[in-house]
Amino acid sequence: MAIDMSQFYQVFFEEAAEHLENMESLLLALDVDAPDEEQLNAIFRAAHSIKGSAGTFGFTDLAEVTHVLENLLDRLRKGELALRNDMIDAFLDAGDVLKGLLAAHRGEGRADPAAVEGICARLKELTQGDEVAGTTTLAASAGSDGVGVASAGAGQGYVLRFILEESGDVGRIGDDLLTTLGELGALVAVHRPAADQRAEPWQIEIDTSHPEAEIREILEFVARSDSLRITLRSVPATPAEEDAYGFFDQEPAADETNLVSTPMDDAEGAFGFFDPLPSDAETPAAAGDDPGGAFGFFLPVPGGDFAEADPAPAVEVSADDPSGAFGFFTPVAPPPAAPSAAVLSMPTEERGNKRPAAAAKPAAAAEATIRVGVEKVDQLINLIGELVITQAMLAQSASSLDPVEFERLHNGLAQLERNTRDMQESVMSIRMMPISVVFSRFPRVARDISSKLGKRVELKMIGEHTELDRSLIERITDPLTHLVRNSLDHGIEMPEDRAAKGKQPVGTITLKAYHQSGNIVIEVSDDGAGLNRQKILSKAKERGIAAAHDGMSDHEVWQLIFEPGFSTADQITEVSGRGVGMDVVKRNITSMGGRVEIDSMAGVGTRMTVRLPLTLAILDGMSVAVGRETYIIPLGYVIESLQASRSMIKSVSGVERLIQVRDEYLPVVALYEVFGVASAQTRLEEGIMIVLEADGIKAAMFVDALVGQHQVVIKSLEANYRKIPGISGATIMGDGHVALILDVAALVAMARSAVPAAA
Amino acid sequence: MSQDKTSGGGDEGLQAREFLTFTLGPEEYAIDILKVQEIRGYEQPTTIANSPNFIKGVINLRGTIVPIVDLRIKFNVGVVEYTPFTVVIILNIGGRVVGIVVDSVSDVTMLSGDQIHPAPEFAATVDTKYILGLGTLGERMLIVVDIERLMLSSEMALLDDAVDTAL
Repeated sequence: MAIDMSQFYQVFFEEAAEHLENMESLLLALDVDAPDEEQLNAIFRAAHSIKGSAGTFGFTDLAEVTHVLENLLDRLRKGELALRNDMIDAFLDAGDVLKGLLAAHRGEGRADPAAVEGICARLKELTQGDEVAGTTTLAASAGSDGVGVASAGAGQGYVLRFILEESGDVGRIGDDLLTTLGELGALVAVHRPAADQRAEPWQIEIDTSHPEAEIREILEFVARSDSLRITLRSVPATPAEEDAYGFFDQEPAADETNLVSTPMDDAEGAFGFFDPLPSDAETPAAAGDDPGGAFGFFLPVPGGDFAEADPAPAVEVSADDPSGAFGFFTPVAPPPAAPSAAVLSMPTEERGNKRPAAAAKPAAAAEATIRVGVEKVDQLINLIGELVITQAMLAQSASSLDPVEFERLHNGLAQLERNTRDMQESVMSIRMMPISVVFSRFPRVARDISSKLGKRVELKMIGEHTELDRSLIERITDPLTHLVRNSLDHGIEMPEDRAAKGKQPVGTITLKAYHQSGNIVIEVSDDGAGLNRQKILSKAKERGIAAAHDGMSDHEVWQLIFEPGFSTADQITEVSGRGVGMDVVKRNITSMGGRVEIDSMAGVGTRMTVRLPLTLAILDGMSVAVGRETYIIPLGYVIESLQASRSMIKSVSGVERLIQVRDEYLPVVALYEVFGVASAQTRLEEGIMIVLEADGIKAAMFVDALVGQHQVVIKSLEANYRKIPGISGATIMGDGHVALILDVAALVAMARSAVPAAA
Repeated sequence: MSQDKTSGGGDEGLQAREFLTFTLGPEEYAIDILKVQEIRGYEQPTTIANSPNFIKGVINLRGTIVPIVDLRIKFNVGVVEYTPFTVVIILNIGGRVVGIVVDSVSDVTMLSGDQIHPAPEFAATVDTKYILGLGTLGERMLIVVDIERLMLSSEMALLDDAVDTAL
């Protein structure tokens, strides 16, 4: 059995990890004073999904913790308990414990039973807490005792006994069966006879919200009909699953009749007849989980009303519409799905969220996404790269043919070009992931650090749907985390200090991502104290950083904080101040082809801007000719190109080193000189000047001519050769030749250091 | 004698191994055929700035960027000219692909350990540590080159971190 199941473990681990992340981000987004019910539901569903699949796969420790977690969540979402900060803390800790357990099951690290017990006890204690005043208190048990016996009882436990059919592959059938049942609910215990013991009975204990008939239907396919026994389990293991009846005692009668009259999927929906409308949140869960629906009757409702109301919402609810909650007496707030979706932008999370009842229907959701190994996608991207090159070669060969005579060929090639371009785009988009994958961890970071430091911080995230390449996502996480920690520690002041300065006591850190001219820009800004120019300069001098002098521009001063070992913190804290970090941040970002800029104003705040290429594999480039060579300049660096007139060219100590472009003097980087190209244009006024900007420094690059603009596939030179100064990579041109891609930042830096030397 | 220098490892010393032989000017060289990926004609590579003169540049080998080394320049033998008959041997050394320019490829020869004599110490443009030995085949003398060691050495400047420690 273990062997059979183990192939699914990986999927389970991934899914559980996603659910945990999802849960954490939702928890952090919760407003303690006025929790969004939809969010509570989403958290509940995440926990429930983990519990369900953990049970299926036999990870009972995971299932236990999530079970306790779920109980508390369930009471919260029903409004029986008021959300408190210590609960969120407990939930977050429970999430950590679950992560630890998951890691232990994966074989990375060990489980900590003490922590598990501790968190369970804490959660249980919280669950026992006082009920919210004013909430209609029909004990949940009444619902399950009275109604649960009916076939459609919610959150019921069953014991299934049966013997498998004689024919077929018992192992496979068994696996399928367990998977199917796992989708219906949590498998609490499974007794599975060995594959060669066909006559042995199976015994499965399952907690499910689905009716007995449905389970029977599934089993009838595989089990010998005479052997099938389904009995109720004495203690339903999921009180959390119990119905959410919030009506008065006299109402169950009406409810019961309804249950009889409505089949399982014809749920009544959630009726919010009173003002606070707690049942609103119930709706998505109610659609699948809870055939009884969630009734928030505050006023005794005449039976007639009820009957009339029934058909319409049933339609609504089965359409998975969260707005299926009807407020008959007060207008209903718009469906809360939209705001919460902002937090949940990973495709898988969205998938989880859109499920009416997350645990109940993983199979349907599985169709929306597939999991593919990264290397397969990479291989596909490489192949498309080859295809693009081949297409370019064909186009080039065909361009010499008579367009009239070979009209059809030309048309075909034009079509091919379009298709390859589209294909390339869609393949690249496979690798694209929203930045929210990275951002989602920051609320936790902010919460933990700010509470540690006694600061009050609000984290704003803008543009978390901005997509970038997966490989970049992985590599940007650490640098960004560091920037956020830095802002928290150094940027945001203590609440008293802020109040003294006339600012809001709660500081704001804004994370913002957007696209700009082929780059993705990520900003981390705070409204804190700003960088202290004097402090940085004096520290720099103290450390003997040669470049530090009082005449430096602010921009140059800010760059000093990227020096290795630089820290202006007065004391080393747990969070930062050791001076390890900013240099690493800069190095990591530069290695990705990106750069960091800092803007800061004393007392107003600091903004760190990280610019990254969208992808590491493809680049928009401008090809230029120098002598017989062709070079590619990444388009992102190019500002303009111009032909210099004699009067624009200025010489310094007899060497023509500068050109005047409008009111700026720019150093000239003559490519033929840098790369020692023979037979190139050497007279500056006869070639082309390309004005480039890298790392905030502008320079003019002198080349013979502009050739064109292409999208090029970046090929590594280092795979078979070594790094060449001034060259960042290579690509293959339409004619099959190799062209080198210029490392503009390095070349501009060269120009900068070469100018003083010449002067 | 030669076998303990062989990069391929010890025990095939007395067993015959196959070598690809090629000419540089009047001289005949032999390299381990297992290091050879393919043989192709010479095409003009894209030159790389500020590289040693024996590195001719890089070519596109079916989508891979491959550096090309002209062994005639490196060993300082023969006349360096590129004709339609100039041959590039594409080597695959530990996963890295490198092309070497030679005048022509002769044949594939079996050489057993006792056919390879240790090279005497002599002054040459090529360090003798890259020469496994001298093979005798009738009248012909084959210079058996440890091509892997040579290509990975720092003097070839093909790697960022050359493994050669002697230099």
